[in-house]
Amino acid sequence: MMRENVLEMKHISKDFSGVTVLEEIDFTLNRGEVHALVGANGAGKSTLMKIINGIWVRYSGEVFLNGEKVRFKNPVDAAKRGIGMIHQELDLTPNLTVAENIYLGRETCRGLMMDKRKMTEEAQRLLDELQFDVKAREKVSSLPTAKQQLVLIARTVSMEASLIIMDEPTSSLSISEIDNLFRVIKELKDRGISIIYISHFLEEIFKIADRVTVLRNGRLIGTKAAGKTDIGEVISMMVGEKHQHDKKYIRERPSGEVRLEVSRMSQMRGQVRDIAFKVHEGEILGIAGVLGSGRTEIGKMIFGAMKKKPGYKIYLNGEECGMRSPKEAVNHGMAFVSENRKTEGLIMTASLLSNIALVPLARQKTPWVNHRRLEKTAADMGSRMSLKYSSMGQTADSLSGGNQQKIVLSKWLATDISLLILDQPTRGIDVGAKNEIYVLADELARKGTSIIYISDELEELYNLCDRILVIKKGQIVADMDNYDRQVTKAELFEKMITDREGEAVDLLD
Amino acid sequence: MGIEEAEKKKRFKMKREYNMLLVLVVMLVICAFISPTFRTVQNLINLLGHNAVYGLLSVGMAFVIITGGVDLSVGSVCALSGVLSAYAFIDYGFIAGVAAGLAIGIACGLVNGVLQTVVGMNHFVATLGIMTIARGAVYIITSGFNIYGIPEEYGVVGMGYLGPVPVAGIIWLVCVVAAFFVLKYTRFGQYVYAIGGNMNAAWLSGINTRLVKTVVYVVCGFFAGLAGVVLSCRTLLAAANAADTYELTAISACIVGGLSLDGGRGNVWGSVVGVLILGLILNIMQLTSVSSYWQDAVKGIIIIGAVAVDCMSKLKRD
Repeated sequence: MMRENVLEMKHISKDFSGVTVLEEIDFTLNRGEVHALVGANGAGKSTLMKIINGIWVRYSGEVFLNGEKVRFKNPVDAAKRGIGMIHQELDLTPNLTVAENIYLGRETCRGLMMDKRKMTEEAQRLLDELQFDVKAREKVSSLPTAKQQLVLIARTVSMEASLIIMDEPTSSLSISEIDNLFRVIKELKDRGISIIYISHFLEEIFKIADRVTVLRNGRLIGTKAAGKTDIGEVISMMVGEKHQHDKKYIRERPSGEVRLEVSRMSQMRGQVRDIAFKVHEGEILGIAGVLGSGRTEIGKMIFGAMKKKPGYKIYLNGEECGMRSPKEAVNHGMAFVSENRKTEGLIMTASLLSNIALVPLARQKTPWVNHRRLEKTAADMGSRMSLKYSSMGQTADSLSGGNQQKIVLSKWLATDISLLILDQPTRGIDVGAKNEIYVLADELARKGTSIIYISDELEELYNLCDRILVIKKGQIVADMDNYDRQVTKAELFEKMITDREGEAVDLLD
Repeated sequence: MGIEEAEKKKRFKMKREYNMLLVLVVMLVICAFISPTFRTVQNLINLLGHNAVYGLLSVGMAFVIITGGVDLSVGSVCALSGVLSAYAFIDYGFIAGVAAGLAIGIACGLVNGVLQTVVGMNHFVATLGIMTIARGAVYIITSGFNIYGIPEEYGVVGMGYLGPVPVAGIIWLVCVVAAFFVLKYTRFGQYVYAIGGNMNAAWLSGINTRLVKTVVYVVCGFFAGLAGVVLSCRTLLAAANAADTYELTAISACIVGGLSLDGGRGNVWGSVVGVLILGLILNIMQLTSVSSYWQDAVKGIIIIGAVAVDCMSKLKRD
């Protein structure tokens, strides 16, 4: 095979209003190569891809495509030059057929009419050529995820893409589907198509990639030939020896009663299955897992905000509860801070007072509203959380991310709660507010509140949590004891992204 | 965001809520200059009576609009209530008539709500369907003929006066005060706003959002039923084409009165201001004998104008 540069990126830097997210990145891609791009969340992978894809147009540095200097104006421009991207959320039009999706926007026409038959024939020929087991006349909505992904790949190939970016293509695939995808990738390679492969699952990467590039905090850490490195080395490149404000919040080992016990909990329609664990009084239980692993679903299922398959058992304070709705969970003293503050946590256009009053109102017994008491509650919470605001009448969207999160916490803490589920509570907020949230969680645990702490940021988990569950593809794969705060980042990381032995064997079928 | 900016925002918001009240006052002053008849106190008080049916529909509509929906069925439900109450008035007397009208209103509202919260329909589709069915029922029941013979003494409800004040107007204002109280001082009322602001967040805060939403449509149906009763007492007959397009007038009044179709904002007094502004235009045009063909066009301009000012200031703010 020719060693020919399809893509060359030189000294790419990018900042968002002064914050540098990419610094002097060099990246090359050869013809027919699978080049894996790895890094923790926020490392800059997607920003780099968005530059290749024409989504970000303001950056410094140079991009060469087939030796020619390019600067794409938009994704359409990039697509015309043979760059295709397959997003994690499959962006297909579900009520159209496979053929119509493949040729969307480029329909074969006879006069003004669409020539459906010809289009379907062409699409089927392409699918057969690629050896995809998909019928061109089927509706996309009737296809499973794995096949939808194949449709997207076919669409990209039909646009004569010479470079395909795959963003976490296996996150929602089963093991045999992953095998099939790998076969497809090899087929694409043989056709001379180059692939940039983004994934959290390192073992997959070593099965498929020719080279691996590691990014960390917007910097290029290194590019290695896959044959000349191993998972251990890649992990240490990803993790680095970052020395940061590593304050450990150490509490006594919780000796109290079991507060929450969950067993045989599976998602109604979804990948999460057979979840079982206990949380004690005053314990912080961390849940780690990559995006799409099912960590959020676990929180939502316990809180009654997501359907569970019958047969599960949930005990709260020794009492069995169905937890069929958030209302039931709230009445039992549960609280849930969603990772989506704007869509699930706050009423952005309502006042701070109305937002904080929401839960106290939902939990009070009488139908009457005592505005004076609610105002006092809100003001008390404001000072307890050291909230920065001018008046409780201002709307929630006028606050910064950190202060908004404090409002969400205030509405829950304004009533007595025994179990708090925090899903990415420090997402998108500044360092100061982050630390305040750690201190708050630590204090609550000391006073006996049990906390389930779901997070992307591993430091939070090993510095704050008494135990850490690791979730992968919908299952608990590890239950780590962290009472002495001895779990390290590398340990945790390895558990999150490498395959279990069982799965590795399956993959070899 | 700095405190200063937040203050500015707050002041802006205050202004917005009183904008349309100011418009109403200005219109009153202008009208008083234009027409001597208008200047009489009695004419102003009469406005309450003339607009009571619209007003009652708008009170119910305000609940629905605050949740972020609209109810297209209220005009037809009002007509259906008018027909059923007319029959009951004639055959069984006053109480039966009122009860029949309110019952059918509540029933239609319940169906509107259940179609959305249990079946999962969109509010527009559900209420459009009920609107059509209710109007159809009116035609089936009356075969298109007017129903006469409501005892004249019941006319007190529609046309009578308590001192100088029309009884229908009193009913309307009592309902407004009650609605205001419910929205402001009960949990249910606060939930109505929460649902309009962010249904998902409200649900995740432990509110039974389906139940609240259903009850909101029942409330709206109740007011449509009540409006139907007042209407049949006012005209002493029930007509098959009664209350035609009244739902649009009610929605218009709410919009003019500052209730946002996005939900979560505005209050029931806004609907009163909106109804009065629209009513005032009719009144002054009649008094100055402007061709009635102009009325709809002017109404439309007022609606667009009221919302445009709001939208443009929002654009500027963003």
